[in-house]
Amino acid sequence: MADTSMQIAAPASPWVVRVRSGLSVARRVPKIPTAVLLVLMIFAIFGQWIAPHSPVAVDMANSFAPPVWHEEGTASNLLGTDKLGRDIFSRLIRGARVSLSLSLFVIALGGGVGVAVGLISGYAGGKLDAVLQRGIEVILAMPTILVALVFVFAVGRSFESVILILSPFLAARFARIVRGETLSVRERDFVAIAKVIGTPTWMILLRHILPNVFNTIIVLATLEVGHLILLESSLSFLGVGVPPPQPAWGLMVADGREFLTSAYWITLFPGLCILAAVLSLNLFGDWLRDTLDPRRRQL
Amino acid sequence: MVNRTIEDDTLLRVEGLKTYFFQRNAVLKAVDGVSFTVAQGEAVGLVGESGSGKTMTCLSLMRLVPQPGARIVEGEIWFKNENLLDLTEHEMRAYRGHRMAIIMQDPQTSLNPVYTVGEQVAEPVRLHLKERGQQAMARVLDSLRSVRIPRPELRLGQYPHQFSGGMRQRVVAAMGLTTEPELLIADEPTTSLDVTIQAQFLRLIRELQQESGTSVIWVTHDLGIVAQMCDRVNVMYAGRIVESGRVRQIYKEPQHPYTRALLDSVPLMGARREKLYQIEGQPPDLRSIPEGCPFWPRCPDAMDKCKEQYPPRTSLGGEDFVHCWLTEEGR
Amino acid sequence: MADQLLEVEGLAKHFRGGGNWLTSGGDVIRAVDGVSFSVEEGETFALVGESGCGKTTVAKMILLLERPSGGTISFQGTDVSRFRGSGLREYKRLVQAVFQDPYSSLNPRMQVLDIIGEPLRVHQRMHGRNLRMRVGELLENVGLNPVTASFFPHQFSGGQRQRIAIARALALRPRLIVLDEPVSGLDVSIRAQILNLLVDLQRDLGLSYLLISHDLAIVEHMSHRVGVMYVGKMMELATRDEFYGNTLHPYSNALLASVPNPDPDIPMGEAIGGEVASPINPPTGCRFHTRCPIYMETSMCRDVEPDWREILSEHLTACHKVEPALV
Repeated sequence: MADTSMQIAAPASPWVVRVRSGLSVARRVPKIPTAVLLVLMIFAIFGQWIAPHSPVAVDMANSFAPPVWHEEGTASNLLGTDKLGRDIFSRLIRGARVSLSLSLFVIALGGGVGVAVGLISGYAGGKLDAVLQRGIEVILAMPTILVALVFVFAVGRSFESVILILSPFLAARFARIVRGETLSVRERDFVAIAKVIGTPTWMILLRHILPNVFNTIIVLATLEVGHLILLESSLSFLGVGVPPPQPAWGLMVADGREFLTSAYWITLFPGLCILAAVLSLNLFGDWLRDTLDPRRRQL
Repeated sequence: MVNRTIEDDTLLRVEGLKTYFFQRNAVLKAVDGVSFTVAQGEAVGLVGESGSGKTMTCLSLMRLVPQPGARIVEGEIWFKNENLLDLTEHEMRAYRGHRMAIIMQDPQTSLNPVYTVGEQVAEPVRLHLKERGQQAMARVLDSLRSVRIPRPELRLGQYPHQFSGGMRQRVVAAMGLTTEPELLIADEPTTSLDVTIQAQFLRLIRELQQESGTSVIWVTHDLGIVAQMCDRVNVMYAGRIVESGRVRQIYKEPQHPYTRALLDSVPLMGARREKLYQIEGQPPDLRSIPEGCPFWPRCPDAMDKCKEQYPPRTSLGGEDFVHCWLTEEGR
Repeated sequence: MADQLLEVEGLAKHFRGGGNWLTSGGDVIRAVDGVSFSVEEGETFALVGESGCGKTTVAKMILLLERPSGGTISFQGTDVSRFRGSGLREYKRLVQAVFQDPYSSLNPRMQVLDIIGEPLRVHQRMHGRNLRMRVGELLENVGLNPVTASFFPHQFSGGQRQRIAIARALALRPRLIVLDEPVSGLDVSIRAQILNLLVDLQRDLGLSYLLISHDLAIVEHMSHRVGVMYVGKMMELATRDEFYGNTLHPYSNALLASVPNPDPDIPMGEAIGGEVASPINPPTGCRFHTRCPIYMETSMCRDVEPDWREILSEHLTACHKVEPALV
């Protein structure tokens, strides 16, 4: 069969291709959203060394200090202080950690469960699928905020309880989407061939289905971080989010609502942070979706 | 060039057509200097593999190349005495769907699922023949009848999903033929059909062609369809026509090694070939077409010359020609 | 007669269309309705028919991807539905498949090494150097360079992908490979490569093929025996020479007449009219009677299902109009 040896279609060895396409992908990263996210991540990780003040240090003498560009503003409190004289800038920096880590925990817990449920539900089909789907629909039909209010009042207000109550909602969203993707991947011939070979089901799920729905999961996760930051903010605003004095952005917006007319900066800056984070994450998620989708990818 | 007159029975003359795809860091020469003619009432085949440029040639004829990305960069397309490439977009619209019609590969997507079949067949009638109401309806019925759709009065009000694949393709044919076009382009119209349904459809098109004297361009990779349906055939490879001739001539005495290889590589019913002739290598990749004759890496007769220079057009009498150094040198 | 490897007896598959387990109901789709044939050691048996005839469903049942509604499949004399544990594993080792679409049949996220290595890992727990050696060997068997083991599917053309799919099917040294339209997704110039490869492999390894195809020229080239299906039923079954030389069933004749011959001097035969009948509420009597050119109103074609009879030696058909030879 020597006469059937053939030249290889690939133009270069795979790692060259990968590096090359990696570079061209990196060049098309949306610059502003990525920069915003990087800054937020640096704040979240190194916040305690960057922040000029302690986020919880009360200084009543210096309450309601305006931002630096106002006449009475000082360079010490760049973005002013709140009613307890705490430095807004420092609180924003430290709040990044609370908001982002909360989202990450929820994504890890809720997303993990959701992906597992979605994979099993989509692959198994039949009655198991129907039962799981009804369960998911029940969760999705519940008003998130209302349920969270009741839950937090019952269990008490803490970082953990916020994670616990948001996770099922996230799991349901993940499960729904992963199931849909699984349904289509399941029908591909390589899954049928794996069954013909006798590949065990867990291996089909982990080696054939999961890698092919992974793009979707990554993209969904990015988009959901933004969504979670908003949710956490709403909960904090309603007084059932992360307990004070921890600086969470939503909480800060809530704190400032009585002083909107006299000290707008207490509300404005955390609000802008939420906006920037959510918008950046959405744009970044869109880009990620386009990049990871081979049909949209331009080589 | 501009004032060239063409022989009376020539309907279409394509000269040096080049359609390129412009990508960020590459130019894909999908059609790279294609010339051929179609006489009135003639059926001409465009045969080739994927990437040979046969579909892009047809889209170029209709001036429907994908935008943005592709562009007709050179050439002339003479339809009777008018160069289609000189027309404005508005003037071109009078040709498309009126004097030239196209039947695409997939009847699934060439019909709009939310309109009834009657409405869709009536579209070109309204647009090009400016007929309405009763008159248009009568014409639609006629054309559905002409493609042998049973009980057209009833079928008129139905939606595409209520039709089988074969019937849908007939509806598409009816849409193309209601305006009595002079040229029908059939782009692999039967690949999604079953064998017996394909046979019905081929027969139908042949009958319609005989009745109306329409010229047909058959785009296909199926050598059987070309043998049965066409008078002439153009064999395409890597964006060029490598051989052109009358069907019987080409099937009996193929000149180009690619044509010969193609004919020898298909199982032939009744012939019982012990082993199929095997064309080595892969179909051409438009991103890296080799220098010289694009077929040389797969050609059993390749010479040094083939790797350097594209062979000139060697006339084989009449309109027939071949691009191959073997024939050119052996003359 | 050679040894029977696979025997299919009265195989049926009825789907319930429309409803699901909550709403139950809908029509019964008789995708396969009592089909019998066998595949012998070292031969190619071809199942021919148009879309909806049930040939792919037969293949899926043999590959245990669908559970039959009736009938039996026996492999080397044992009813496949009785296989459990190691017997089942052995069946899954000996019966492999190559599907039509080489783009869908290779996991785009896996390297060739893992794609071809999957059956070896699952069945023989092969890994590391051994695995790499065996995969390299298999790649060479199908005419690919062993260095391509580290490539991903998108780096190959359609024909090369189909070679990879064939290498995967060969990995466990199977006895039977189900070939479901193995070349219809490929370019014309590539088809001969793959068909020749399959013929060579069969000769060298003594494989049996069950070839599912709609292309009668390819079937004639590849197969030893042919079965023709129409709307879930077997219409005719014969050796290749008998089938192409002495066609008995009017549907087989119609199929053969419909093939556009790549010879301008052999015109196409008379085409039959009508549409392929639906497996939902299939026609009564002979399923082909609605399109049959020799059907007559007064005949029993419409009401009585024709028997599956051996007309000549090893040449069976189901048609009222065909009389058994008086031998």
